[in-house]
Amino acid sequence: MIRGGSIAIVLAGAALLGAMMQIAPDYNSTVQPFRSHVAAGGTGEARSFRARFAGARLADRIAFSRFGTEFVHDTDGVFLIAEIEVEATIVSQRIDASWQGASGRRYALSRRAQDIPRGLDSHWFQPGLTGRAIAVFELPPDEVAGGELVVNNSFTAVFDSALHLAPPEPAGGSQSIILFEP
Amino acid sequence: MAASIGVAAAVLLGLWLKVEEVRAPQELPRIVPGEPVDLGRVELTPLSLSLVPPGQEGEPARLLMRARLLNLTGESQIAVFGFPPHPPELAAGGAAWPEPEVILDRDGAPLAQLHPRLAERVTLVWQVPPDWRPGPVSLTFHRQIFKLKDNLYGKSSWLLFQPAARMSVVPEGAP
Repeated sequence: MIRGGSIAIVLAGAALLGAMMQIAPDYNSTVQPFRSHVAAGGTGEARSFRARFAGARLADRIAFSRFGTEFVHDTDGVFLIAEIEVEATIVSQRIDASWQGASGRRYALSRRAQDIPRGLDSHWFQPGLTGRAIAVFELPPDEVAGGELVVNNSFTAVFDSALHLAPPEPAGGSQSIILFEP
Repeated sequence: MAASIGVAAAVLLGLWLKVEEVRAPQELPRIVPGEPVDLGRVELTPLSLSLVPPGQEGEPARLLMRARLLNLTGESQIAVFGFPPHPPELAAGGAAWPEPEVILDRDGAPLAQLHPRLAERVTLVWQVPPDWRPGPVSLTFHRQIFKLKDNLYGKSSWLLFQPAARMSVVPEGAP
């Protein structure tokens, strides 16, 4: 009888532990930025900056000049050019952005568009001054509609703010080429 | 007593089956050009391997492998061949060659990033050692293991590499 009781206690403990493992949030869902969703055209307020998704354009090719050399890049997908207005609220800082596509996949800033004029990757935002920068993403066309721009602190977004900005309507269809001029 | 032995045996058997499941296969699958291989973060399809003579005197000849790369993950990758990088390992006569340069064909520049669902044509460039005599070469492809919940924090992690496939081929253009 005593043995039966012990076995029952062990089984109950195992069942309890199993249940706790199933319902406990895992590391990936716990260690995350704090998300705020912002409607199209709205300004989002993060811990150390505020940002607005000002405009979006699509292009089949992009062209720019870097260190005196002309570059023209094409893609099998489409280039999404996002214009972002940002104001730092505490200290001068940089901002990182990614595009969360309609499928949920994350597209980082295109490194093929690094160092474009007014590019987000090289832009510092100052407290009290609203700066405008350009983020270029390369993605399949069906990831654009239904996607959102995710903007966060450039160093680490974990346990910091991340703004999920709904896109404004892209101006017209996809242009054959967009030239970035200083 | 019998129940304890039974439980211990079941635990050990379960552990052994798990180890067997993740153990690298003794004999690697052989692939041929055109056949895709899963490297963990990307799927690589070798298309051709060719020997290119030196452009100028004093330069080494180059071995070029044209390939198609497709990002299999849910986010843009800068570590296309994993971290630390494990690009295809080329060996000839039992000696492994230094790592290749990976060129994005559409730009003619080093590949910096690969986005999900956007396959790219790339060229892997090896500099041919001066003492190499043209002949068959062997390419070993490594896959990095992804674990959704690792044993330390339960976080998703890219872990060890293990050989995934091998390809033996004579480069085009070899005399």
